[in-house]
Amino acid sequence: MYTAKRPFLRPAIFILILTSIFLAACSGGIANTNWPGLSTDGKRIYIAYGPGVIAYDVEKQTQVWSFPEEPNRTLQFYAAPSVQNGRIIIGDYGASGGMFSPGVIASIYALQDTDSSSPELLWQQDGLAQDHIVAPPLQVEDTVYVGTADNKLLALDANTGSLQWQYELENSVWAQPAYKNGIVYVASLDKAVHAVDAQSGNRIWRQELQGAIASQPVVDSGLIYVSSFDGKVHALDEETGQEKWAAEAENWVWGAPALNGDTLYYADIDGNVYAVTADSGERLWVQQVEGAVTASPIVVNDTLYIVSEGNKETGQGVLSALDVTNGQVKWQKTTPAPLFATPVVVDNVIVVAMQSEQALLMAFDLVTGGQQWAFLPAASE
Amino acid sequence: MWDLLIINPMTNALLWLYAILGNNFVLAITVFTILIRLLTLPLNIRQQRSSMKMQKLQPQIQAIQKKYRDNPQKMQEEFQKIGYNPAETLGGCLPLLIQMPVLFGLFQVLRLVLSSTPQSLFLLTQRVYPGIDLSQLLPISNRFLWMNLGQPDPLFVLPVLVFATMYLQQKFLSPTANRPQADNKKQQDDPTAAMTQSMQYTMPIMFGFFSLQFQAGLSIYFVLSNIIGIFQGVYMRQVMAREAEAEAQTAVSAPSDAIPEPEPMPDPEPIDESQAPAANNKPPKKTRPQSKRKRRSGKR
Repeated sequence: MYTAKRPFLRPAIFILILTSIFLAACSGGIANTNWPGLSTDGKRIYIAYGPGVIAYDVEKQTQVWSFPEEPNRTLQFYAAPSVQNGRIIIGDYGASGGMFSPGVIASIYALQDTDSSSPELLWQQDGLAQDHIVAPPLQVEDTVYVGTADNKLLALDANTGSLQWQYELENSVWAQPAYKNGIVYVASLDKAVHAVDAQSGNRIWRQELQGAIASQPVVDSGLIYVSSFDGKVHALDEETGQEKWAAEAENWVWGAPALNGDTLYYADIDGNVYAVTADSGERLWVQQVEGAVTASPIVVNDTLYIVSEGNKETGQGVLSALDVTNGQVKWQKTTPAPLFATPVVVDNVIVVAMQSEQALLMAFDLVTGGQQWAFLPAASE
Repeated sequence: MWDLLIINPMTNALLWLYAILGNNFVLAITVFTILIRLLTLPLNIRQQRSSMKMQKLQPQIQAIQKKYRDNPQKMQEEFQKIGYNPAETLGGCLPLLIQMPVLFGLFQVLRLVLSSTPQSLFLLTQRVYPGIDLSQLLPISNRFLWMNLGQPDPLFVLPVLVFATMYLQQKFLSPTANRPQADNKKQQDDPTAAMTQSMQYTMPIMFGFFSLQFQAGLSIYFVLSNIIGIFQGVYMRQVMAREAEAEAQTAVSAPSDAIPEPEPMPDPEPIDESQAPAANNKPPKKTRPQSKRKRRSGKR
C-alpha cells in the first residue's frame, strides 16, 4: 500500500485530475462570445454568429449560404456585417496561432453575395487588428471603415482591402462608425466622440463625455446624437463637437438612439424607454419594458419596436411595439431567449436574433405581432 | 452558487482594488494576489511544516513499510508510534486545492472584468455590488507593457516566468530541496519524496503550458503568487532551522525533558533482487551498500 512501485503514477493522476478540472472550469461559465449581429439589404438577412456568417432569404425562408463554408472553430463572428450592392464586409473576433503563437490576429473579409451555397471571397485582410472586431464595418462608396477593439479606426479600399489610413483612439471601438459629408464620426469606449476626415484620417475634433460609448452616433441636420454609459443621450454640434444638450436616463444608455422626424427615442439598461424632442432633449414620454435594453429602437411608421432582455427568471426575451406618440404598448411578444441584438425590418416583418437552441431568428408581423417564421441553422438543430 | 461565492466577490474585489489603486489593473492583481496568499498563509505554513516533519521520519517510515508489508494493521500501529499519519501526506495538496477555486475564478473574472465583448460587459453590470460605480471605472485598462491582459503574452515572457518562478517555489517549499545529491537515489524508494521531486518539474511545466494559452493577467497572478511562495519557502526554512537548532540545544542541556526518539527500526531483511518490484530493481552496482545504512542507523 505504501511502497513506491510506480513513483510517478500518483503525481501523474493528480496532475491529470488537476488539469481536467482546470480546463473544464476555464472553458465553461463566462464565455468569450457575444450576441448575434444582424444586417439586411432588404431581401436577405446576414447574421454573424459564432463560427460563421449566414445569409438567409426572407422570401424563400431558407438559408442561402454560410461563410466559411466549413466552420472553423477557431474563428468567431459577432459584428453585424456591412452590406452594399451585394458586397458584404465582415470582421472576425480574431484567433491565436495556437499554443506557440498566442498572438491574436483578427481578419476582415469582403464577400460577394451569391445564390450558391458559398459566397465569393473578394479579399481578406489579416493582421490589421490584434483584437476582436466588435464594431460593424461601414461601407461608404469604395471605402470601408472598421473600428477595432485594439483602439483603431481603419479605412480600407473596399475593392481591394488595402489600408488607406488608420486613426488611433484611446480605447476599443465597439460602435459602427457614422459618415456624413466627408467626415467619419466614431464613438469609443474611451468616452469620446471623434470626427475624422474621411480622406486623410486626420482628426477634426474630439469631444469627451462622462461615460464610455458602445453604439453608433446618429448624425442628422447639424447635430450628432450619442448614447453613453453616463446615463445620458448627448446632442453634439456636428461642426465643433460642442454639446448642445443632454437628455437623462435612469441608467446606462447602450444602444444608439433612433431618430424619427423631430423625436428621438432611446432606452436604458433598466428597461426605460424615452422619447425626447430632437432639438432640445425635452422629455415627451417614458415607458417601461421588461429587462435591460442594449439594442437600438427601430421606428416604422407610427410604431417604435424595441427588444429587451425580458424576464430573468424565465429567460424569455421580449419584443415590444410601442405607439410613438405616447409610448403605449401596442403588443408584446416573448421569445425563447433574451434579446440583446438590434433587430432588422424586412418587408412587413421585424426579425429578432437570439442565443437559443430553439431559434436563431424569429420574425413577427409588424402590425399584429404574430409570429411569421423562425430559423435555426442546420448545424444547431 | 459558484458565481455567488467565488465569481462575484472576486470580481468586486478586483474592481474595488482597481478603483482605489488609480485605475491600474496590474496593481489591482498584485494586491489581490497578496491578499489571497495572506489568506492561505496559515495553511501553507502548516503544510510546509508537515512536509518537513514527514521528511525527517522517512527512514523510519520506509523501514516499517518494508518490515510489515504483509501486515497493514501492524504497519499502522508502528506508524502511530512514530507519529506518522499517511493521510497527512494528502494534506500537502490542500493549499493547492484551496487555491484552485481562486485560479478557476480568476480566469473567468478576468474575462468578465476586462470585458472583451459587449456580452461580457453586460454580464459584468449584473454582478457589480452597489457602491461600485462601474461607469466611472470603464473602460478598464487592459494594457501592461506590450501585453493585452485579456490575451496570452505573445512574446512568451510570462510563460517562461511562470515556469521559472513555480520551479523555484516548488524547490524552496520542498523539504528535499537542498539535500545532497546522493540522497536523491534514496528518494526513488520513497513515494513522498518521489512525488515531491516529480511535482517539482511537472507542475511548472504544466502551468507554463497553461500560460501559453491563458490571459496575461492570470499569468501575472501565477508569477506574483510564486514569488511570494519563494519568499515564504526561504523564510520557513530559516525558521525551521532555528527551531531545530533550539531543539538540539534543549536536548543537550536537558536530556531528561527531551521527547524520546522512537526506537530505531531494525534493518530490513536483504531484498532478493530477482524478487524485487520493478521500481526497486536496480543494477547491483547502484545498490546502496548495507554498511552505509548501518552507519546511518547507528547515528540515529
